[in-house]
Amino acid sequence: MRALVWHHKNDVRYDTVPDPEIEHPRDAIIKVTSCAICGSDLHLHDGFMPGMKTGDILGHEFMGEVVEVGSDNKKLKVGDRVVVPFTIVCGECDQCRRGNFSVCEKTNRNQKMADKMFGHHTAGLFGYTHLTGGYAGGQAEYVRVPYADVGPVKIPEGLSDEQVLFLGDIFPTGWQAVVQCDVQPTDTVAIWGAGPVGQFCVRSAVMLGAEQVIVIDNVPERLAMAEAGGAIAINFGEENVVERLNDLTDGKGPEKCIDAVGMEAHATATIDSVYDRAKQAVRLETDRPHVLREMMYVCRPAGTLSVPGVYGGLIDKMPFGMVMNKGLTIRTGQTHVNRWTDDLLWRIQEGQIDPSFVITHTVGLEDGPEMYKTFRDKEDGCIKVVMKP
Amino acid sequence: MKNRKCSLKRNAQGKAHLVSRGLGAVSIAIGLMELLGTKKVSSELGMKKQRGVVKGYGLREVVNGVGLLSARNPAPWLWARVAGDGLDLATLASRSYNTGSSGRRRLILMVIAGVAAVTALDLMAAQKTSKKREVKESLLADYKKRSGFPRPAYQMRGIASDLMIPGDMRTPAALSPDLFEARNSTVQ
Repeated sequence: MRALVWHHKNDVRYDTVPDPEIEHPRDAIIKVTSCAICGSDLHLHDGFMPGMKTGDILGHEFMGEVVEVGSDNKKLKVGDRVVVPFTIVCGECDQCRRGNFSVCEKTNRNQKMADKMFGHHTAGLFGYTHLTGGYAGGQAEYVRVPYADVGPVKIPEGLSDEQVLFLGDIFPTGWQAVVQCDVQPTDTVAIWGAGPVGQFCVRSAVMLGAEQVIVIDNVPERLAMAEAGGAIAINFGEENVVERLNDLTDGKGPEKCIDAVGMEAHATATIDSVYDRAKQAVRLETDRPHVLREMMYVCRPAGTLSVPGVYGGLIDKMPFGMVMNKGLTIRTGQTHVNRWTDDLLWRIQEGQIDPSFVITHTVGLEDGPEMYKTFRDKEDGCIKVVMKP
Repeated sequence: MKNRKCSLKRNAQGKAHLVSRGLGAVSIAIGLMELLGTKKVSSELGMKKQRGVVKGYGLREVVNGVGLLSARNPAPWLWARVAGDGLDLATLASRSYNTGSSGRRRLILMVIAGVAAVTALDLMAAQKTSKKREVKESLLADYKKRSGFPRPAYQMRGIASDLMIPGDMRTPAALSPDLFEARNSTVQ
């Protein structure tokens, strides 16, 4: 079969690879009908996430049709149409029973490696470094889904791929980022980053009843899309973010701050961003935490910082005194996708939201390597790429 | 709402970014040569008494090179290189004017020609990468309609407030005025 394969930093290729096979009785093989490039795939592409090996198949946002099931899999049957969450979950361990699916204790095949990196291992993820199990991803014609009797979400008739594909990652990710802020009707929610996850944060904050939703970015078309979803836009290339946020909140700062950017923050020439660039260049820091610092500074005392943006390792010069003295709550983590999928699928069916609004480019899988660069460089108005194998 | 097939051509700005990476490597190489071979370089250019200047220029080149290799936006670093090139050319011209040896003058003029060529490359790359990102009005107009909602966004506010927030994600009562008051009134 053909798939998008990671070779080196900035080197993703459309290669021929062996077809996947059933390896465990609970597995299923899915024929991928749609897949997408996620912002966190860019961290792999750009070489910021450790644990990648040449030959790894990328992709953790995908859906398709079941073409083969293992003998113990009683949930799926051939012909079912499913969206597959990016987290691989067993459904049985202590964490899964608590709903903490992204830290499933069982599905990460490289637990010792992850224990060394993170102290304790997290769940297996599709197409996302050997620290999370080294599972082949879904930017491919076919994919093996382990524990397929737990994670995959069956899709009812009448919904297009484009409407439901993002149930596997970015919609629940934006949703959880806002849910874990426990938004009150008087709250201002400020969201850093108007990429795909930021866009879903905006819609989720509006749907969950925030009084005011603000988004911060410097890409005009992304800000335009966020405004369409009900946000007030701040272009950090043209305005002072802290001043504007304070103006919009009577000088008190937003109660809820969301980092939908993560480890590769870009900022105009602030002292801390230049410092991060220099340290990252000489490998003394893995991530660039400009957004975290700004959130800690501007957040209203006793407020909440929610961090769906991906960080991989070490960050420097964190003003933790601000966090402690202002009594801020920090909530973060990979998304517990299966906690939210039933509810969000219902909301899509009800017509409350159509997630396909975010798709700006639809291409064949063979165009994937080029689209990684287009998406990374934000060229051609690119916000979300969907690929059809 | 219409999805567009992307034209997959890399633009000129992308190529300029590649050139800037090359210039970054060249900058580091020149800088190291000036730092590690200060004595020889100073002697060849007739700047024996100005070794500190040569070292300073070398350090500038290395910093510039690291900046070019690590920055997503190379434009400021390229403009810094152009300014540095100007400084180099002025210094070389002054040495060429003041030297008494015709052999050394010939060597300095050759170096000036080389620096001038690199300056042209720096200037070209700096201009290309500094080009302001253009966004088509039609694109903005399209994205301004992409709410994802069936009704205007202000009418969708709170449509999902029926969601039961899981206990582990609720704001602690002490941080929420309403919940805090409710709890206290229950206690009393």
